[in-house]
Amino acid sequence: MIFNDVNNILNKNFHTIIIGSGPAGISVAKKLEKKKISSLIVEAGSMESSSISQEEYEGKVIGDDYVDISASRLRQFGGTSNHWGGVCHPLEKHDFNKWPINKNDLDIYKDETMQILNLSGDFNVSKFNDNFNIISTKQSNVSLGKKYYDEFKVSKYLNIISNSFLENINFLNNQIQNIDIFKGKKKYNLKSKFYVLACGALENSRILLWNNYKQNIFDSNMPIGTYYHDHPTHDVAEGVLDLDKTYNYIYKNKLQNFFDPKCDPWLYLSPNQNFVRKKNILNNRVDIYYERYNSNYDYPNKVYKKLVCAAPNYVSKYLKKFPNQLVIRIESHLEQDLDLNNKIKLNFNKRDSFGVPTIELHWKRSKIVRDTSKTTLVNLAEFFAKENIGRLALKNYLFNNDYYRHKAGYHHMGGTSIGYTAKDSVVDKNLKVHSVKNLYVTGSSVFKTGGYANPTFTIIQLSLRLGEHLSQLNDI
Amino acid sequence: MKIFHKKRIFLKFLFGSVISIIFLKKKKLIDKNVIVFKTDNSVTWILNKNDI
Repeated sequence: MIFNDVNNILNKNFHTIIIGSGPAGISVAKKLEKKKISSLIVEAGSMESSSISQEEYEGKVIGDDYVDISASRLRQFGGTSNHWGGVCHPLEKHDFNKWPINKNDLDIYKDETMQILNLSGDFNVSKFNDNFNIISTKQSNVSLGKKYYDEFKVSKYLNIISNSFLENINFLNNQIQNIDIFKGKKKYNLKSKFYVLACGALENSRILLWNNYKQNIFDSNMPIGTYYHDHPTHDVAEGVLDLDKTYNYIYKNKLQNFFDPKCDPWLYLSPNQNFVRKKNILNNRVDIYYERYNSNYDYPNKVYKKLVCAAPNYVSKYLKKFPNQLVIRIESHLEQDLDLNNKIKLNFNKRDSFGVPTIELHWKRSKIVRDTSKTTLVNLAEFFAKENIGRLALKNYLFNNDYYRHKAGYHHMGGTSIGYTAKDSVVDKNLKVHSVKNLYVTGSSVFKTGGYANPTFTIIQLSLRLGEHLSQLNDI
Repeated sequence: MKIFHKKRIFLKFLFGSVISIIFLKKKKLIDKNVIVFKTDNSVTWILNKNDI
């Protein structure tokens, strides 16, 4: 049911209250609904997007240039799924090396996750050459708010109240007694057995930090807000591919299923684990975008002209023979190394309209991020040249200390990471906050490491697993 | 005597040609696999030596 008046829910018994209605929150609620268990989602935003609501997300970033954190998240029903890019891929087996769970624990929820994201088929990874794998990703066009609006309207198990801001979590004896929410200017008190924070990586940390500041609940060593990470994403190279030779290589190695000439990015490659270990670099993905040769469009012309200057023999010998060439642009999409100094803090000098300190995000890319892109791209470019598949030009910042722009990412991860103890993590393998009996956290904030995969697929898997766990609990 | 001399010259020529072909082919193969870096204002091309 979609509730507008808090008075209509005060006398209802909900098994779980979920804070946040993004992909994580909706997935927990959907799993509980399947088990005929009633939950309530408390959404701070409205059922539609609103610029006033977005202002509450404003914050300050200290360190390297970063994305606008008020625009990278959506404060509305469906959360960030209302404006995401839709690229889906699960984490790889080795990405779980530092997690207390493994890939099999999440693979159980793969089919359900595919259904939620309107996807079909399978994800594949295959050998591209001795050092690289080729990856098939999937593109989801789902907006979870739109997809599930009608279900929430009629279901007695799926309940939501919007424009309701979590003001306070009231703890007693290591468990939550109830929560205070603001709806309009009025304060209400809500109670359930279990509570789930599912507000995105930045907000999950902010809520825990703020409540800990007021009530001093958690172990002082618990690293709330720390080990924040993203997927640094940069334009790293451009170049030319000989399409005939590229197709020959793809068909000779039976890789055609990984390749759709109509899709852009055109190819996704990732260095394999042997290469990553041998070169001591981070996991990363190379996204190859094509830029069709077009005299009206400047970019391919510029690349082609640069190649004529740098490699006249190549152009005259090969490209004239094969006019079917493709100008490409390459983006590097990296896992970030864990740094204790990359963290979410409270900015007490600037508060939102409810008086809660806004976010002060400390974020920097280490030297290994740049080195990883360089090592990966040099190896790929050498392979393309040796096999005569094409020629790549790497941006000069990879070879010197010039400034380079963080282009995208928008994948807020960490802050309440999963682990074994309160010293190294905030939640345990069941996503329960260490030392609190009935508080759980889900979403990308629990990611210990980020791999190269876009996070939404894993967020939904983790949240379905949490829903399953909660459905087996009747009492604290 | 004359025939023997001509034969020797011809064999020398043949042997020289074979050696030259092998050498040149090998050199071309090596050149093809020599990677060079060529930098301009904004990018560094990674090329085969014989592209330039």
